[in-house]
Amino acid sequence: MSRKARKKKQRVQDRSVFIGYSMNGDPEQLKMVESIKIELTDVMRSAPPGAAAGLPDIETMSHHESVHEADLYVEAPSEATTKISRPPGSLLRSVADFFCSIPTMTNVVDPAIADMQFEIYEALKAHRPQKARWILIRGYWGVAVAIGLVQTLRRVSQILKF
Amino acid sequence: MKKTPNEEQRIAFPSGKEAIILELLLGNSSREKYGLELVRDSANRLKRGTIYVTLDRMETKGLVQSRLEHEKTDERSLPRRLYRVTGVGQRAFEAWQMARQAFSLQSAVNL
Repeated sequence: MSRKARKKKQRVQDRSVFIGYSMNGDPEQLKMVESIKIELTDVMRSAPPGAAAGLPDIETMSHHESVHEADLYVEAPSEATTKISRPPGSLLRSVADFFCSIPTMTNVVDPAIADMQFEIYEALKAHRPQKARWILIRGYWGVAVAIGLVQTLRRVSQILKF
Repeated sequence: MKKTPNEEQRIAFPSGKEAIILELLLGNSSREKYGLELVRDSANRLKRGTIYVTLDRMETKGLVQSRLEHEKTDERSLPRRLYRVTGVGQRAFEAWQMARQAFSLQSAVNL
């Protein structure tokens, strides 16, 4: 088992099903509550995070209901997770924003990233993720070259002014 | 330093790369084009890394004009920039072509 998988398992165990009930120890009721607990846990684990709209934590789904005068509270981590990803080139834009002036960003970096994003989306639409990855690498290189060129030209023009 | 009238009237002469861009923009369709479109149409004469810098310089010279596209296909993506040739750019390209023809004629006579 990989380290990541072990970590995930540990996290699931840490946040495992919690049941709170107040009963008089009736074995029949206990058995029923246990079966409900398992059923609920399975349902909630397989539920997509989108179904937990309104819950503060999308990784955890909780359920509370009253079963035969017993308060049943089940909290289970959802196995279905949503990866929230930023648009391609957003990291590059943040880095470039730190180094470049506003006109350079507007006239050089933004059009380059916009065209790169368009090309990536076209490749993804055509179900070609490998091509999209290659476009991303090429786009990063292209923008890096453009930024380097702008900075070099600026320095040269400053030197020529003296 | 104040510019003399002659300097103000002078049209910026395009460089080799700029002339290629003007040629592509003034091509058959003569419509607005994206930077990437120009790279694709140039048949490896233009590179991705230099096209936007060159277009920016041309815009500063007044050879091309640009605008952001109106309709955004996706809210997450940046709007693309469209470029078109200005009147100055068109005249500069014509002057560049005439100069090239004159130079080639001159070279032929000298040979």
